[in-house]
Amino acid sequence: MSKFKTDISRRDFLKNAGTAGIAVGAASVFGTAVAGESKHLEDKSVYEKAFGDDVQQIYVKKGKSQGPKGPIGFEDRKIAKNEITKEYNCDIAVVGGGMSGLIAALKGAEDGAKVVLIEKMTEGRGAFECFGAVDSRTQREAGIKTDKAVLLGEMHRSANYRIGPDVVRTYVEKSGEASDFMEQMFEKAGTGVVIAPMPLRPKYPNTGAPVIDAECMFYNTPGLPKDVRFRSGHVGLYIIQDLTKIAKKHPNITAKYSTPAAQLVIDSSGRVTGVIAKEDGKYVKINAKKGVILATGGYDANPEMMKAYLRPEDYSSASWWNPCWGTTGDGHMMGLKVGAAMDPVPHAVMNFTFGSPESFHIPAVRTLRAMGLYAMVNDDGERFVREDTAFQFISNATNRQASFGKQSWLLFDDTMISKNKETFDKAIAAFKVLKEKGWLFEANSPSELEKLMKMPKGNLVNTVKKFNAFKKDGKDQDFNRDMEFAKAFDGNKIYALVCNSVILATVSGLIIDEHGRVLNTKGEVIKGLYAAGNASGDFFSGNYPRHIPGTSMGRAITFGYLSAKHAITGV
Amino acid sequence: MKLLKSLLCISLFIAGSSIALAKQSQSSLDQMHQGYTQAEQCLECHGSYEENAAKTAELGKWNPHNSIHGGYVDCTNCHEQNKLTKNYCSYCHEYKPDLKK
Repeated sequence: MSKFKTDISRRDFLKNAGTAGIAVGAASVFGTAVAGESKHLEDKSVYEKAFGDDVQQIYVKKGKSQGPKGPIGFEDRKIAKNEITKEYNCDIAVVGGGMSGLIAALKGAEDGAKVVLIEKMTEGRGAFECFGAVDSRTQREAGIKTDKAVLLGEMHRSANYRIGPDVVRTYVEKSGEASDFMEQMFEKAGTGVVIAPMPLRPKYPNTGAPVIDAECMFYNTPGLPKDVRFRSGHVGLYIIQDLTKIAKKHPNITAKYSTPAAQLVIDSSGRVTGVIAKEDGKYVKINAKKGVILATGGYDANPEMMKAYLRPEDYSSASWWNPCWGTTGDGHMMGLKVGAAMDPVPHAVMNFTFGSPESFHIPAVRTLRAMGLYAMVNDDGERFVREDTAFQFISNATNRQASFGKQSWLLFDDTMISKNKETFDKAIAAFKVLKEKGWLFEANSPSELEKLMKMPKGNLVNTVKKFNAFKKDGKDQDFNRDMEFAKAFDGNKIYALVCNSVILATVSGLIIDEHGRVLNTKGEVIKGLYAAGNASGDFFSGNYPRHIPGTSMGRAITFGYLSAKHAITGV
Repeated sequence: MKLLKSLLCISLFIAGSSIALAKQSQSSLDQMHQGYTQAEQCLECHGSYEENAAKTAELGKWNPHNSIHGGYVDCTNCHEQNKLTKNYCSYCHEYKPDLKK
């Protein structure tokens, strides 16, 4: 157990660090674990090497990861005793100050543990507006009864049954309790964060998936700044700020920011006893008597890990949205280094549609009734997916098109833009900028549009004709879209808006049990080590199931809470 | 070697300080940055991330080096050697620091 799974020499480490070497000024608190491409083609990256020699390689062409690059905290080399300048002692060390880390720290502290919370960035990440939960206080009071069996069944189906039963079952059973704990923390802060049940909107009624009522939201929070207008995604930032404020004030919590974790400390019995981090550019050791909780998030801001563990088509043509780039998979790597098991590759990505080539089409898409009415076509003017399916499936279909160099487009006409005059005018005004960027095309007819966009002659005309006939007959013969909620193309203007897949996060990670304890490759508990949120696994496979409400945030809250609750016991 | 590097840094600073000079000696400025591809290298000469954040503090809440989303932000996301290649903020926000301080 005490043996490291991987053995990567210091020489390799330096080689992978690229031309920079380790000439890091006192200014930088971060290591140079793996920055940049390896100079030698035959060299595998540290992320590929992490699986050791007994690894089967599945050969795929590497894609190009165009996403942001975050600062890496993980260090693979052996950090010598004499490099440690300071030691801290606590009961529980929490690595990461996002949702799961904050909930873990607060739960531990509330139960009387001394907690050290370290976060690599100056702020924890929060990009959400809802979270999944079952039987939370607000849901109980609203009389919402979630069919737990249906929820559980759909979680398994969505993961293609590639997961164990314990973690998802625990989520379904304990998310309400965890949500209620979080609510108590908001009450303590007194800034007016309000949790309410997310109104059930049957978005995907005809795709074979059940509509599940198991989500709460922060939309109605009166404590939010007034300028937070587009609340989806933005609310989370303020929720995290709120929880951070409570954590920083808590007498049992020492919160350290700009303090990246580099690696775990294990004793001779294989128990994780602490974590080595960098504080003000110097190594410090945090001894954690009862456990270390990895709450480091996914690795969407680590291009090398994206290439190592994801399908190339998932990231090669996608856009990125999340603005906080601390998610570089430090927890995954620290766990692997002490022998943890991880979800099998390829990992699951949380993807979404409505992407511009840079991020989300936020202003334009908001103004469209076309959110639900558009048809989707490729560069050849042909449909390739049912447009009313769950967003992750549209995203996958878009990526499939992009694999062969074909861009995806939302096709709509002026009758599909909002009927509200003010919103309509706003949309038309927004189109101007989109046209200048080459992201939107406008024409008076499908034939004019296909010419403008250099599509094969007749294709788009034919697609629109077919689509209108499907609407008339009430049956989509090509993709079985529910035509009741579609609209015929009969306007004066027709538009095509470029549509990318967008990466929000990665959601596969270290295998845990029902208490959040990390397991090794034999399925045994690694004592003293916990993982929560997007650093943890055994929950998703293939894609993040966007049609099941809020399981990512719900998981973060639930397993942040449960990890701390179990760690307290010191077992 | 260390002295050479320091001299390089100083001359770079001088070149960067004068816009006129920088314009004239564009290619030598470019040359000077050749091989500098990692954030750690940038920081060696240009000061710490925090120092750079302070330099652009007048941008207020639009300060890309100290945003509400948190740093440290790797230089190479937006800068390629001596050139600003993208403004990631503008991917999601209308980037108008003058209007919305």
